[in-house]
Amino acid sequence: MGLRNIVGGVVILGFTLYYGGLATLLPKRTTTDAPGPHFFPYLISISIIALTVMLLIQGVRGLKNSGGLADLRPEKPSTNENFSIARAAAGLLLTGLYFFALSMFGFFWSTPVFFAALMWTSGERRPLVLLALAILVPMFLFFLFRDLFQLPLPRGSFLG
Amino acid sequence: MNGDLLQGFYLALAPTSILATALGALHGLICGMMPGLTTSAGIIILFPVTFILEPTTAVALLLGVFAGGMTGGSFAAILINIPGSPSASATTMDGFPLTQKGEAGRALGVSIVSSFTGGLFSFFCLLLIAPQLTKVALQFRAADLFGLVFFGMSVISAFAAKSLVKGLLSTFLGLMIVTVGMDPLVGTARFTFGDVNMLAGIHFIPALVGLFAIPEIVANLAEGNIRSVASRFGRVFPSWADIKKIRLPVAIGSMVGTFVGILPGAGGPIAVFVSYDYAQKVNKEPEQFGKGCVEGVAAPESANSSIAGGALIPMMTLGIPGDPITAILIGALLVHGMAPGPLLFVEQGPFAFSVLFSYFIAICSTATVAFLGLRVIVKLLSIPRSLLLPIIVALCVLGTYALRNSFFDIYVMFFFGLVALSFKWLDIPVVPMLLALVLGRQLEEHLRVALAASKGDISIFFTSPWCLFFLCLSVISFAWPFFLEWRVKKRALEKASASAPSSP
Repeated sequence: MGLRNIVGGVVILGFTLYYGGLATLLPKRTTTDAPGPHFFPYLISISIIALTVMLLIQGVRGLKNSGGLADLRPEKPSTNENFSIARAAAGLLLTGLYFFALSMFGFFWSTPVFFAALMWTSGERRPLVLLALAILVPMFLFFLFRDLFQLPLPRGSFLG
Repeated sequence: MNGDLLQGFYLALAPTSILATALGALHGLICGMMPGLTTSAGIIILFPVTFILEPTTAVALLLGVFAGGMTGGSFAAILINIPGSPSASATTMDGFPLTQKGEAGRALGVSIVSSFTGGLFSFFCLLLIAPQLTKVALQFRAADLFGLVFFGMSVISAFAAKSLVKGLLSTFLGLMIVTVGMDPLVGTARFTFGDVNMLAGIHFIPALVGLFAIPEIVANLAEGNIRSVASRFGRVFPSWADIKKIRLPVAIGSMVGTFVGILPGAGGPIAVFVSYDYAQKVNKEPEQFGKGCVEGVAAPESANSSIAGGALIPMMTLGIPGDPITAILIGALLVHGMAPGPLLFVEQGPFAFSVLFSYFIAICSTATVAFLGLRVIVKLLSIPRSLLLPIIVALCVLGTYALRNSFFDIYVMFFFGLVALSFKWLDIPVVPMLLALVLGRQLEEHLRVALAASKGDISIFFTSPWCLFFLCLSVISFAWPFFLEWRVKKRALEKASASAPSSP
């Protein structure tokens, strides 16, 4: 965990310094005697900087027992032989792409493609089952939410 | 107050509310049961549906999920030795051995009855304590409210993480996100980068969907296994002999669970293991624990269920969530324009009491649905995750988008999903961040209003008795983990010195 704490600490510290820098641009005083809009962000920045320094110290102390760069890899449970980080990463990437595609193609067109892709990634290899579920389930959700619940669904800029 | 109580009772008894509670209980049982699908995820999935419902019905639905989820967690623990939720982890110790003996039905029946009794006990505590606590909370001024919110956040930071530094970091990063948008007092735009979406701030619903749902989806994808469950488990309703056996463990579990539930951030796993330990200590045959005895199922299950009622006490009376699920419930109430806290009982008395009675109906519905539908519900454990995961993602999208019809919220959800995954990698808990997102704006507002009232004099926080009381509690909550660590080390040293050979 030592190396991870250092990496995390540096990233958070950098981000907080940027945030603190932006906070200095906020108005200092208001018409009343109340502290201005800068006050709370200042408090937060100072607290995070102090905590990050502690995290970095913990990280440096933990380096003695760390396994070097191997510590940066996510843990793999030994009890599950099916465990696959690559599958998880692929699923996350697909989810990100799906969110992006929604703004272009809308819920109706992007969801079946996403269903098929994610089902395939999670191990479904029967083409007929995959195709049927990837079309029927999103369609069911679409009509359920649009017509029965009358909720707005994401509409794409290219296809509605 | 009595009029409000009666009106609340009638509101909770409306057919739509009862139906919503029963459906919520069924949904909660399923979500709580499926390993990797928690009660929080179950509530998040139902968010879009609540937008079209009346506030009373929406809350009844979500409370059904809450109560059902707490009971459902034990099903997977008993049948496949994998707790559906962290709070069901102690149930595996005796639940699964009972299944191995061919007595799964007995274990499930005892679990449902114990959950029902624990929930009932916590409901009566909720009904008795909540109105009294509200009267006290109504006297709070800005400085006291600051102290209270600060205490709620500090206790979560201290107990939710293995490391206090990481717990606090999570809280402060959450507070940092809360500062995005319009300043709560003077309306100045802060950290918006000229983006019109940022002006309204980061809504905590997309944030919490991202924080909880995305890591669960990723974890499920990584695991990728499908389980099959035995569909035959004999008689489910417990025998009279079993009911006599579980009386004391259930009483212990109910009291421990309700008490732990009231404490913000103490968490379900603590309550279930403490009650299991006590139940074992008072049992005439403690050696039977761990080998498949019904008392070992009853104690943790009653504790697990009573946590829910306990957690609703600070949520309803002080607006402080006791656990992640109540934090999500606060979010749902806020979406409907109802802010939990003492004022809710004054301004929306019937609604506030309807929430309490809906919880009672949720407990009854859970027990009924669980007994009637058990054989069908457990079959769902065999649903392939390959189908379940895309459905969850799609429902998250629908819920997030329906909030403000904005793609920005979908991106916010994904961003927080990435944040939660990074936090997991760094072993930083997400619960303190969630609490900061829910309470952060109040914290800033109370702090600045109190300072404005005292013309910038910080002694206001130490001269107000309530504020001082909460600040002292915060200090204790920060010091408590260090004290526990010191005590463990001291005991280990004493043991080591006692076992060392004595010098001649």
